[in-house]
Amino acid sequence: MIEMLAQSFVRYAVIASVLAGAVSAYLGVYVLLRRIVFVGIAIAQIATLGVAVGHLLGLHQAEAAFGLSLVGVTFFALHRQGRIPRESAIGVAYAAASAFTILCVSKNPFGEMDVLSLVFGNVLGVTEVQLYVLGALAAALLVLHWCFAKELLFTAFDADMAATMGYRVQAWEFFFYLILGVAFSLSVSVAGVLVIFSYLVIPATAALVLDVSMTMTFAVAVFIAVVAGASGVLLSYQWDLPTGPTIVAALSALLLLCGLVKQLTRLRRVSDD
Amino acid sequence: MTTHPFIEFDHVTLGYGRRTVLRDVELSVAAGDFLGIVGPNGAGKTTLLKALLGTLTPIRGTIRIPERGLVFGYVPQRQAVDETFPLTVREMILMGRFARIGLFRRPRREDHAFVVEAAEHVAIADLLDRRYRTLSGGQKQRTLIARALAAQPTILVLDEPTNGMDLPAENAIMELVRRLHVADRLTVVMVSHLLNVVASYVARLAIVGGGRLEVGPVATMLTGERLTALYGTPVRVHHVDGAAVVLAGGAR
Repeated sequence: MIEMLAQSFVRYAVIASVLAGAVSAYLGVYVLLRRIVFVGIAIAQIATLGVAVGHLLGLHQAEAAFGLSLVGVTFFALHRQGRIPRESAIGVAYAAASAFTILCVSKNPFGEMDVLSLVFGNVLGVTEVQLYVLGALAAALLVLHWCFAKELLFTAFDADMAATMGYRVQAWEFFFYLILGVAFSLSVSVAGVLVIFSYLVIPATAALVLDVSMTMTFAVAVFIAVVAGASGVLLSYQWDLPTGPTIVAALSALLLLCGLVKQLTRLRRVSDD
Repeated sequence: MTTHPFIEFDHVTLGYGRRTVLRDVELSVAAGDFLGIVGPNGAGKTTLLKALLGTLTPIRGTIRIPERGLVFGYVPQRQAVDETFPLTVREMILMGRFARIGLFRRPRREDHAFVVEAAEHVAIADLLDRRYRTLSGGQKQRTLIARALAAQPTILVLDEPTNGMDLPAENAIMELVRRLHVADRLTVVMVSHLLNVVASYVARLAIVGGGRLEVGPVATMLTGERLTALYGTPVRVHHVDGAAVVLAGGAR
């Protein structure tokens, strides 16, 4: 393993994967608890479309991703359940963003490779600058968590009570979506939409399966993402496998492990009783 | 006991978009009040509650809050609480302090002391470190009341506090609410579809139905004719040991 890490591109890939995983897994806890998993995937897909548009038009990819994400985030935050269910709007946004992403890369001679890289990312090709950006993103999230964790949790958990206590619930929702949009814009071009979505959902699910405390749910989700991110990159390099799917497989294996641990604990408790 | 109004509804029309739910609402909640809001399902109880809590803007009319710094202690329906969150009773009650703690601040020692005090007040101090989702219906309701109390409210607003409870649990919760009203002099507004429960405890009754609101003392409001017209089914009101008992249908 030390030999592998001696190569800078592997080292960068591990760090990028760990940072993107930690950020997404942390946000994933809120996404799962707010029951907005499909808003999450739709915003991730819109950010991916931004990367594709940026690629096609020769714009800065992260800026293009953020621009489009902002449109999506604003739409989802302002859209209220009416005659058209919210799920329909999310479905339409996801399908349209996916189709336009493919259309954007279809005329490119390396189109198929580009699509694969957008879906699974190109973590082995990550640059030092991208690492700094991801590091800054993770640091910013830590600061935001320190400042606003109680507001984000409260408005997600009990919007009605929060509103009666003077919280501007819709503004907090928009703020959270904005954080999601920024995080996806910066990490999707590194890790790819499928990997980011997996980071978003699988570690948080595993933490909830373990049924630990609220604080530990965040910690366990981030830990699982870090372990899967690092091991996924190293195993893919070791066994010559595609990196993105290996990370997703590692995440799934860890989720399975958490489920087994929980079942065994339950059985042990029953037999002790 | 002072009787200055906390909230005044002046010819208020409530609804959503173009749909009007309640028209020409005249209602006043004064300090020391114990008001029950009753009515059939879908009549507009929740709409009235939202307007009272300030989360629904009236289509017409004015809702006045003469006193600045009015704090609501809102107790939502138990069934509306999301149990996916792995929160302990302590964490749940602490949420009641968040508005007082303010932005950029972490809970202080005094906030944690308020949590313990609120839990002791509703007799759940021994459950503070238990996971909320593992509690019984009555314990969950006490947790939600403690959370509302932790906000140091001016008015306690309860939405269907005894929904889905058996008789002893229902009685225990209502006795707790009565104690908060009498001993702690808390102003209480309670929404319920359980007429008998409300009638035994509140001082004034607001009946919602047919797009209107009528308010008055329990004895005046609880009449067979009024309730029969409201619910569209024969309703009779009897008095047993001074308490009103509402019977629906043809039962004698």
